Amino acid sequence: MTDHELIEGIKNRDRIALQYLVTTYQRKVIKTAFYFLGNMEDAEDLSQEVFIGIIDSVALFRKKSSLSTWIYRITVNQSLNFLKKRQRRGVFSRIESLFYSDHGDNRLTPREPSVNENPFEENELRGILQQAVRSLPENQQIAFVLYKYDDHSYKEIAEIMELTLSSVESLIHRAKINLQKRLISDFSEYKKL
Amino acid sequence: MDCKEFRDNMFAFQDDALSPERKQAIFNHLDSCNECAVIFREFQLALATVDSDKAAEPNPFASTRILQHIESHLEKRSRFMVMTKHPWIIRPVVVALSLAIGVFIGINRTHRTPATGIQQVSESPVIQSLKTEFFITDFIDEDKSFTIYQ
Repeated sequence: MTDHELIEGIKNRDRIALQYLVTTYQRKVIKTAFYFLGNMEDAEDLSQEVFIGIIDSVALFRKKSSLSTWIYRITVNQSLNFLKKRQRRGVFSRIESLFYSDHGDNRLTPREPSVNENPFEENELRGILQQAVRSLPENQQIAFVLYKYDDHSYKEIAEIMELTLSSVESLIHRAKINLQKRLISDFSEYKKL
Repeated sequence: MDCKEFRDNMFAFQDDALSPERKQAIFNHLDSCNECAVIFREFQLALATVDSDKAAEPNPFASTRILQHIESHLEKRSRFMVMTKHPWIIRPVVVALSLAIGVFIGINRTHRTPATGIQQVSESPVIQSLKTEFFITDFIDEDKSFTIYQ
């Protein structure tokens, strides 16, 4: 099915077209959402809303980019909105915890290492990296995730983000510098403990 | 190469984006600086989690759940569209309901017409006996005036 046939089928709510849309794009949508959210269940739940968003707004698709680029754009925007909502809920639950029982210190603290052992477990390292990525400015975060996790080329990222190629290169370069600083600071703090 | 220079080039070194001379300088620094060696090791291990995240796959039944969610969404939308597609049924019903609600509220309010005046003190047995004793027909609390609802 070509992009044009698929778009017309979605507009007409044709069940075969909708099935084709989901089976073709669901893996890409879920994995991209997972790279932003860090949780597969959340990514699968979010993907349902992404496909609803695609179906509801297909009439607004102007075909300036390819259908897959447009779908990636919707996925990235919905993922970031989800993270912002989760952050706001986190603020409320932290305020709540001030008034209710103390849940204790939830920060990850590394174990005492033995001679040749890593001080952090893999999940802890994943959490540290995810927090560092989420601390980046939004555009740097998007560019870095699409580049490092989703293996998009600079050109594809430029199409998804509607930026020039040089802007994308600059974003990724700055993202790496900022990540470097943040990770060094996180790992150096451990050494001081 | 000092620690600052090394730490500024960790990502480039990891991505193999340095000249052979700079790479050698970094190897030399890692051999001589234990702190940088530990930090670089953690940095590499953290970046290695990207590869394990890339390998994660969604639930094989995810597409079934997505399609069910889409079906339920389209069903809700079509029910909404039926209502907006038949205004010649919906509008008169809405107008009639609004009138009925307005009449009901109006009737309710007329039963609560305000009457200002002086509230009569309720007659307790003590007051009744005082009235009898002093031939008083009624007590009126002149200090207070209330709006009472009949």
